[in-house]
Amino acid sequence: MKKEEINKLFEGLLNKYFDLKMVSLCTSDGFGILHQSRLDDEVELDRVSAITSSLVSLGNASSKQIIGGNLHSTIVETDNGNLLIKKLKLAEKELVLSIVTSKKMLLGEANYLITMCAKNIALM
Amino acid sequence: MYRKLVVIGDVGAGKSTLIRTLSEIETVDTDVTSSKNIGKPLTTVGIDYGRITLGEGDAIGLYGVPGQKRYSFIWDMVKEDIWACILLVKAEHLRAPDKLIDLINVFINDKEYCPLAIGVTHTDIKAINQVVIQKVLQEKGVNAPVFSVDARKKQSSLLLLHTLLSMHNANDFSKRENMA
Ligand SMILES: Nc1nc2c(ncn2[C@@H]2O[C@H](COP(=O)(O)OP(=O)(O)O)[C@@H](O)[C@H]2O)c(=O)[nH]1
Ligand SMILES: [Mg+2]
Repeated sequence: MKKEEINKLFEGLLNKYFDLKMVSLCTSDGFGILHQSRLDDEVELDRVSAITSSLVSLGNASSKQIIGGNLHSTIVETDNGNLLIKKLKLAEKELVLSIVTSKKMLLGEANYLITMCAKNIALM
Repeated sequence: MYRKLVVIGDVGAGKSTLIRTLSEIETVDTDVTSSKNIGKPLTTVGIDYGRITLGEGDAIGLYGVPGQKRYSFIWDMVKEDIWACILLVKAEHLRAPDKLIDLINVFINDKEYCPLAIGVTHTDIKAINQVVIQKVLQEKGVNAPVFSVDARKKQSSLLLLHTLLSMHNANDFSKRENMA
């Protein structure tokens, strides 16, 4: 896996977007790969990976059993900011990308950001 | 009455299968492709949820939880008000019994009465003496009936459920006896 490249991508994003608080990548079965964060309360990669992989799988179950259609993203909105999670494929591996943004960043912007990030990783 | 039944056990023991076998609704399935070799292609990352109706307003909710420690946030979501617990053990191994005991304790500790039944799966592939498993757990202070079950088969899986219902009935009965 292109860990170095992805790490650089994450770094670049965190530098560019001040309201981006965390970027994290794990396998779809919840094993952490990479993680960068400037959240006040530092979270462990293992924990983020377990929680985001679960949420994505539940998002998937919802899209299959309730809405119909393919899952684009799973979103958790809070009064402190948002967590967005996306599935992606890299070298035939199912991965989960997640970002945390501060409440100052609009949900649409955050969604655009994670979509671009996922696209960039998938192209590596 | 709504009763919460939790299914715990090692990876590959058959938790998701058991819930699929017993549930009358399409289960909420959170299996994904495993990135590591765990002896099977899929692994559960969220929760397995199924349901059995016993009668009017009377149902059992089936909750399967991943056993890996990093998913402990799901244990916390599920562990309140549990009615009974099923532990599945794969016949090939009783790996790390201490971990299993810890897991059992997460769910049945602090409960007034929460029966546990143990199912040993995959006995069609490997014969195993259930008494050995029972003894290992007994030495660690866990007393529970042990059965050989095939999680893919309904009758076999129902054995565990019927056992837990009987254990509850017996407990209710002795409570009444004590009061009389
Ligand atoms: N041969 C055999 N296979 C079983 C038995 N119980 C479950 N399985 C299979 O074991 C595999 C793993 O089961 P799964 O439900 O995913 O395990 P989980 O990780 O505990 O959720 C599945 O392919 C099941 O069909 C059993 O008693 N005998
Ligand atoms: Mg499972």
